Parts: sequence; structure tokens; C-alpha cells
Amino acid sequence: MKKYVTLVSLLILKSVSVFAQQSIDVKATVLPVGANITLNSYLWNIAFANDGATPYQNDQQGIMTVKSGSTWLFHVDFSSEHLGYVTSGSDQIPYSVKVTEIPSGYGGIIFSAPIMDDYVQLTSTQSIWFFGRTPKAGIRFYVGVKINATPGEFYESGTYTDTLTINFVAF
Amino acid sequence: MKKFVVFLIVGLLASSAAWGANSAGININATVTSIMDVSVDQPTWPITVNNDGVAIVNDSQGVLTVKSSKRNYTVTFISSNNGSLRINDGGTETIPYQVKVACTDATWNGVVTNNLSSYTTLTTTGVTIVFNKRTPVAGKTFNIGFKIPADTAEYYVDGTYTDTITISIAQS
Repeated sequence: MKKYVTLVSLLILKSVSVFAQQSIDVKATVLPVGANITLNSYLWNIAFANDGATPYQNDQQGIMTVKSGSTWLFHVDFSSEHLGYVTSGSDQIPYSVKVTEIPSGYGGIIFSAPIMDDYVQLTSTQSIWFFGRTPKAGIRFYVGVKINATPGEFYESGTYTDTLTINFVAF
Repeated sequence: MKKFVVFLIVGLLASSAAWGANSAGININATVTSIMDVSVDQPTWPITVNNDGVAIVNDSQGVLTVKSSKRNYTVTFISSNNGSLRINDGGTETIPYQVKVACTDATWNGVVTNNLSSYTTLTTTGVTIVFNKRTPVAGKTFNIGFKIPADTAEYYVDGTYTDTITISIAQS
């Protein structure tokens, strides 16, 4: 009796494996790469000579990396909390920023901005427009900062601050 | 039909912008060097007293240059002998003198209070000039006048007399 039962079981199992079909739909959703802007430093300490002649200029004050999986348009905006001034109480000193692409072969910049041509005081937002995703490692830019001296005049000595904000907006 | 197309595009832009926003903030700290300095054109003033009792007055005995990158500061004049020249032989003989300080640029309005605007006897605790304006990088110059008042009552004991005037600057 035991042998019979075993045989029947095997037959049933075999028949199932022959006639049953199962399919799996593989559906992979590639999530958009989140807009990703990083800098090698988020605090820039600047020592200004204040001798009425020597400007402060560092063309590589920081390095910005932009990564995007967007295959469409996106732009990176630069703005200043105090509209291009570092401030200390009621005293303020104008400063300028310049962005220089570190060559990488990326050709996605479709609209440059004055900030990529020369130092610009951020009295208003400066935007760089891109089309198409970046390499996975991103594209890198030097961010420079410059403070001009006022010939023959001192600035009020002290510590001045501003916040430079870089926004990434993708469509 | 036109309206529909416009609405559709606007809708797409609005929805896609939502997922792609990111920002980074950089804090910029600029430290502006403080410059505060006083200097004089001559560290020694040789003065001859001919002992005739007549006052000795020189409104430009020396020139003081003040430099400051701070708006509010004070320049202090201190005399080691409380405003008198003291004889160098160890005795007690003294000759009182006075000092006056005037900006060479009469149009400059950076001085709030000048306690040396007329001839004044210096003290060991100091007599001050208070400012409320930064100087140019080259500084502002001030004539320092020196005066030994007339004394017809008696002769000064002959000899060499000295005093040291110390001028300092400090943020107010």
C-alpha cells in the first residue's frame, strides 16, 4: 500500500511540472538621480589684507560637483543672501564670484552665464543651464571669490559674513 | 485648443520641477585686518631755552600720523613727568610745558573730541583725542605744538631737562 501511494504522488508531481507555466514580469523603475550639488568646502575663511591696495582673489576657493540623471533641462542658480556683499553689522564689502568648468568633455552646458566669463557680484541670481544628464561622477567647477580693495581707503576691520546659495532645478 | 496645450505644458513643468530641487549653502567669512597705528616724524625734540623768560612756542614742533581701520578709536598722550621737563642731574628742578594737537586737514571731520585743541598740560594718566571716522590708508597728519609758557619771575636752573611723551591708539 505504501508503494502505491508513493507512486501516485510522483506521477502527480511530474504532471504538474510538465503542464504548469509561470511567467515573471521584470519591471525595473530607474529612479531619477536626485539633483546633487556638493562642494569640497561649505565654509570659506578669507583673510583680507585691508591695505587699500591688495585685493583678495582665489580662483579655486571651492570645487563644486554637479550630478544629474535628468535627460532634460536643468539649471544651477547662484545667489547671495546679501546680494553680493559680505556684511558686518551695517558695514558691507562687495565681493564677486566666478565659476570655471574643469574640463571633462561634458557638452551639456547650453546657456552659460556672465559668472562663467568673469567675476560677478551676485546682486541677482546667476543661472547656468544644462541639457542632458551628467556623467556618473558629475561635472566639476572651480568656484572663485574676489574682494577688491578700495584704493587708499580702509574697510572697517572686523569679521564679515555672507551665505552663497547654489540651487539645482531640474525639469 | 490653445488653452489646453498651455495648461498641459505648465502642468508638466510644475510636476517635474518638484523632484529635481537641491541646494547647497556656502558660508563666507571674511576677516578684514585691523590697522591701528600712530607714528611721529621725529622721536626727539631738541629745544633750546635761552632763559630770557619769554615763552617758547612752536605750533609744528612735530608731526603725528594716525592710521585706523576702525571707526571709533582714541589717541592718548601721556607725559612721564606729568607735563614737565625734569632736570637730568637727579635734582628736582622742572620746567612746565604744554602741547597742542591740530589736524593738518582742517576739512576732515573725524575728530569728535580733541582735548588738546589748545595748549594743554599733559598728565601721567593721559589726555585724549577721540575719533569717529576711519583714516585713509595713508593716515591723517596732525601738527603737534610745543610751548613753554613765559616765566619772568625767575631763571630756570641751567642744565638739560627731559621728558617722554607717549602716544598710543586704541579702539574705543
